[in-house]
Amino acid sequence: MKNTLLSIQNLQTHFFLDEGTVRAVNGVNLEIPLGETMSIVGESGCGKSVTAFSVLQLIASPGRIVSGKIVFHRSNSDDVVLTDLTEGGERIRAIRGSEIAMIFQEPMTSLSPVHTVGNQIMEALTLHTNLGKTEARLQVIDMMQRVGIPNPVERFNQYPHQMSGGLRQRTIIAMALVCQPKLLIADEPTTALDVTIQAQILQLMRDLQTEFEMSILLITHDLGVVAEMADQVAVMYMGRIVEQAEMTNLFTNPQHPYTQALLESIPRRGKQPKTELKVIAGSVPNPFEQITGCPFHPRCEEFSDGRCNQGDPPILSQLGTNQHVACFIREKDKIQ
Amino acid sequence: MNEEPLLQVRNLKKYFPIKQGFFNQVVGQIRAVDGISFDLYHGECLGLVGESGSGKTTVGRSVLRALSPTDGQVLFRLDDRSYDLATATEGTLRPLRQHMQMIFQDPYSSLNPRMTVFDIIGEPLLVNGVSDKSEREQRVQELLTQVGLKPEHMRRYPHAFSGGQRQRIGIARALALHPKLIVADEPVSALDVSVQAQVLNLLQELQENFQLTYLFIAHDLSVVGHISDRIAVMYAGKLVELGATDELFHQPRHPYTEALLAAVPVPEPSRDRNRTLLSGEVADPANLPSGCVFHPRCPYAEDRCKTEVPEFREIATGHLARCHLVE
Repeated sequence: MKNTLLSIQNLQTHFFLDEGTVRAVNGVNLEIPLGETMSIVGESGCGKSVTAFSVLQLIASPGRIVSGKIVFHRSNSDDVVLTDLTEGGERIRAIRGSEIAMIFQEPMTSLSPVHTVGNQIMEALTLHTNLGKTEARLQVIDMMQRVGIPNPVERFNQYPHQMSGGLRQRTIIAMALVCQPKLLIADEPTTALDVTIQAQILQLMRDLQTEFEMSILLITHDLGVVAEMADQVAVMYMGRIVEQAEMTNLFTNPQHPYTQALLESIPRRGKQPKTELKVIAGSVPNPFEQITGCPFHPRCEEFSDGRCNQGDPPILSQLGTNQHVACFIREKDKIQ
Repeated sequence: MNEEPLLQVRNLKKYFPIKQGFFNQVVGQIRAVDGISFDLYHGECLGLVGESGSGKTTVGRSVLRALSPTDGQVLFRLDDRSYDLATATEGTLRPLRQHMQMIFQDPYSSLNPRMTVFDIIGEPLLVNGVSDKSEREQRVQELLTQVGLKPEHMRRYPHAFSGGQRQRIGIARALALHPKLIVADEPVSALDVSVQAQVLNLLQELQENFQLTYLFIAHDLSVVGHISDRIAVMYAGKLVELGATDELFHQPRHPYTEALLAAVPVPEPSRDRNRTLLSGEVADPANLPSGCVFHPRCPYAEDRCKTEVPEFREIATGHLARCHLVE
């Protein structure tokens, strides 16, 4: 049994709007192992980002964590239940940015345009440690060097607009890692970048993970990035995890009809070009809609009436592997 | 392919001036497109790939004369006559426009939220002289069915549709006048994977049914590879390689194409995670490097790459590359 750094238990995060309630996260169970990368993959609106934001208690009104528990297991067996901490209170603020850090999608909007990049990275250090200014500055410059920012001494006093997209994303990574967090939450960290720059940033994140022995929770919609980065993968659809597996198993032996269809619908190099791609019928349902039974049943090819549209799908675990599937149909197959 | 190409682009250039100071003096040029030539044959799909800022969108827009090129020729063939779109007057262009249409990237901002679907798709018909309303209605209904929507969707506004459906409306609008050439600028990059496949299939089906010619612009190599017969790779305003899809993917000749293919994350778990990657960043089109524009990032660069500009030359039948080192 691997050590777990963070466990999410039956998390429900809902948004209460005038038009109705959006059950953005609807009963998610997830364990992030120590020192590994767990990736949540799904299409837009499936709740993957809301899950990540819930971990850090960053859900703003009208959203609220309705129920569930998020436990952060520190190494000295002193567990913190993050969901019990007061929102915006001192204890969660002490964890945010130091033990659990986050990097966001847009390198253009998540930096302040009126502060130098050096000072922005240093802010996390001065907040969470007792380092003096000179010492903190040295650590920041060291960190900038490690994330591959050339001429860090000069760059320290520059503003974000003087940097390219790739360098800004490196700055954000430096900012997140300067306090040496145990868990890094990366929400679509490379989506806004060009492919050659994306490859550099992914490589950097892998190197730093080994160096700092941290766990990464990687949120992405790109199955290519998943194959590149993840150890474990959770596939989300409409606020639920429909399948969870080790990365290689998910690609070679997907079980859930949604995962299977998703993998078949992406065009790949080497596949016969100009052939018809397999499609998933329809589109992601309206978030206000309440689907009874399996959330995927209206689009599922293997839908069986009277079963898939009643009650919650059972969670099936493959014997011997770490693969879990929430599906009625697969249950029948695995009867023996 | 020994027939005449539908479109011949020759040495196309588009520069944007950099203005500065109180009097808006021109202090430099951004060479967004810097001497591009290619042919587009009837019924084929040519993919144009490149990273952001490489000039691929500017090529698409200059071809359709949505932008006026700085230099070069865009020869469009119609009924055995050839028109140079780059220099044609507005009067000559006007009747030609119905034969060339564009599909845009963002299905949210490319449809007017105050117009119904009927008005949106019907507008090109109205502009081109279909003044009878019932005739227009009939054609719009036919188009909606062709792109996989229902005729009764005609009375709705764009907000009632999902991203994929909106992109279908944009496609129906482009098809309204039976065009020959369609420039599709990142038509699926704003869509989710499951919907992306639907739209790609639709584009392919329409191409077969109506013998359309596509210039398909995208940054995603797998998407481009799926739909294109040939692929052209752009870097800093220039074409660096052009060839048949299969050949380009399996035997890339230009170092940039090779690097681009290596950089794309593919959904295969067995891939080597620690393969060699390209260092540095995309060249700045306002301040291009000397010699070969790719030399500062090229792992194979030699001395002459820094000074001599390589020619875009044929290295095998129908396969062109711009590199000194390719034999």
